[in-house]
Amino acid sequence: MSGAQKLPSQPIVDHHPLTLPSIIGRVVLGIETSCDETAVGVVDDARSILAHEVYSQLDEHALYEGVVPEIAARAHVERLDILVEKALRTAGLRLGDMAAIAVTGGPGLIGGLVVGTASAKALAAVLGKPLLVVNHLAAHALTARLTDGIAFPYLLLLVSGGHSQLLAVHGADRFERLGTTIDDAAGEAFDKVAKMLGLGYPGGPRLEALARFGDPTRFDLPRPLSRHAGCDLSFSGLKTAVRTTILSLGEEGAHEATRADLAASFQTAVADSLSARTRRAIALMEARYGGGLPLVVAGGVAANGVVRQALAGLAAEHAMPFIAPPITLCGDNGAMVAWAGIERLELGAGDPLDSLTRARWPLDMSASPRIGSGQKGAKA
Amino acid sequence: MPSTEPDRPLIVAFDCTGDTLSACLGTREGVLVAATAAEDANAAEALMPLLDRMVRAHGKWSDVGLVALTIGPGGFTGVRVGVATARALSLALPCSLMPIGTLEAIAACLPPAPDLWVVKDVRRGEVVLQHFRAGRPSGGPELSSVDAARFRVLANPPSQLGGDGVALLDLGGIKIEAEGVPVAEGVWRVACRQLAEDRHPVAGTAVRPFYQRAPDAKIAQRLRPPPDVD
Repeated sequence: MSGAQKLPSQPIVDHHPLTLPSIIGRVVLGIETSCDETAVGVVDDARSILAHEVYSQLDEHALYEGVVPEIAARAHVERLDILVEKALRTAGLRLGDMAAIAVTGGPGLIGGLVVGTASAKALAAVLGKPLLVVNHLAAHALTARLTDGIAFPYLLLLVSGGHSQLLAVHGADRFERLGTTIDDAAGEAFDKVAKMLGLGYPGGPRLEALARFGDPTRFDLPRPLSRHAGCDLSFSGLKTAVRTTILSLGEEGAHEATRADLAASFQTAVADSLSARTRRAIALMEARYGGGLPLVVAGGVAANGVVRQALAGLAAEHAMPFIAPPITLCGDNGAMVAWAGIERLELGAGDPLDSLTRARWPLDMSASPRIGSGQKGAKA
Repeated sequence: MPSTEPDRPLIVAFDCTGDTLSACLGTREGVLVAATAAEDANAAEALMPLLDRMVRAHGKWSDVGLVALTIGPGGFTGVRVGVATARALSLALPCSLMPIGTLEAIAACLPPAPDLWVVKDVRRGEVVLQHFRAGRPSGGPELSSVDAARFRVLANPPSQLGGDGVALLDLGGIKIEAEGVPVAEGVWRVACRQLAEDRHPVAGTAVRPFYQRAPDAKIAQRLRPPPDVD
């Protein structure tokens, strides 16, 4: 099979107040409340992001150095309708202009999910418009089609605080898991190591900032599963190695330069590990489809510069287009949910008002669960 | 005030703060229909289908001029489902909301009494109790241990007691009233009473859940203030 068809790219428009409803296609409102971001997006079927509003709960959770589910749920209910109004103002549209209401129905923290789905159901019922309950992971997975308009299939590395998976994306509702973490998610490992280094919350960005001043070769940290076949991932052993290293360093572990070296060494180990496992997945995809399919990275860890660089290099080695969403679309957001809704709308999908919210909702329902996979952490 | 507009006469009232989800649809003149979801129904899944069926059976959503709801105390998830649903309804219709304390709604379900304590079981060996005089709150809802609540009630025995927390108090011979009607009808009664008293509904964004407890969360050890040292 030949390489994926690349549709003409369209710039992302964050603010689009002059758009007239009569000249745009179907517009969908997307609601995201699965973890610690309350987010609303408005997207049309021509791949324009008409509104992209995110309220990050960083301040609410900072004292606890991690996401507290009850605090997250309380914040969502106080903010969501305000963000919907703001997003509509930004888009220059009314609720009645929406073709459908899309909402994350899982996986995620159940307390937040029910706030989003309860709101979306009320909006959809009153407007008489379809309700589209979207898988949060599918929304991340399909973001590359929103930003770059790529065709199916493609190889996806989905790396976030709750998930680390390699997937073959065959369609908007067809995902094949090639590999997944057997313990911690990559983003979770970033957060835990950041905590060990006293960096606080959110750990990932702070660890990356500290690592800029460090020597990534100073500490010889493991690359888990490097000798194992398959595409599964693991980060628990790496996390433990960092803890052991900190303990062995004693007082020296508190020095800024040492902490920076450890942060850089850890970050490089994660990037190496992700690259090595992705390399195996590329081989699988090449064997099936030939070369040249896009390599897509998505999820919060996709915002990490070192990880992006490593994956871009890997894609270049294999002459694959490399697609990483803009940083603003790496984290949880409503635009990706709205787009996933549009993809489902194109398939003729719609969901009833009694749709379930699901704390766990694997993308590939046929893949067997891995012990420990995605069962830890706030975003699991 | 939306509910007094003749073209939008319907009032939606619901309660999902307790074990049983209930809803009713009415006007200022009376209840048109009331329903209770199955006992094991999850509010996140059952509330909106119930409301949608009621409204469509007796009119259309654009006939709704007011949404009244309980805001707690109660199960946190149920409280949030109710508030999130009501705020979204307020945005979409648009209409104002009438937030009502759950214990006040329960009190409105009971036969009139000069003196009433409503006691709600909120788990963990605690109750929330509120006192009513002639159907009106004489104070706010208070979180209390079961023992302290028993002492409080026995110190000034009321003419009537209600709510699912009363059984926990083990009060012997004091008369306990079963809730006469589903709580949603109490919500509707309080909403109508408040409208009659010219108490105005509020904007959706002004409606906030009433939580009887702070979140269970521990401040990171690194960030805790040092203990006081004399």
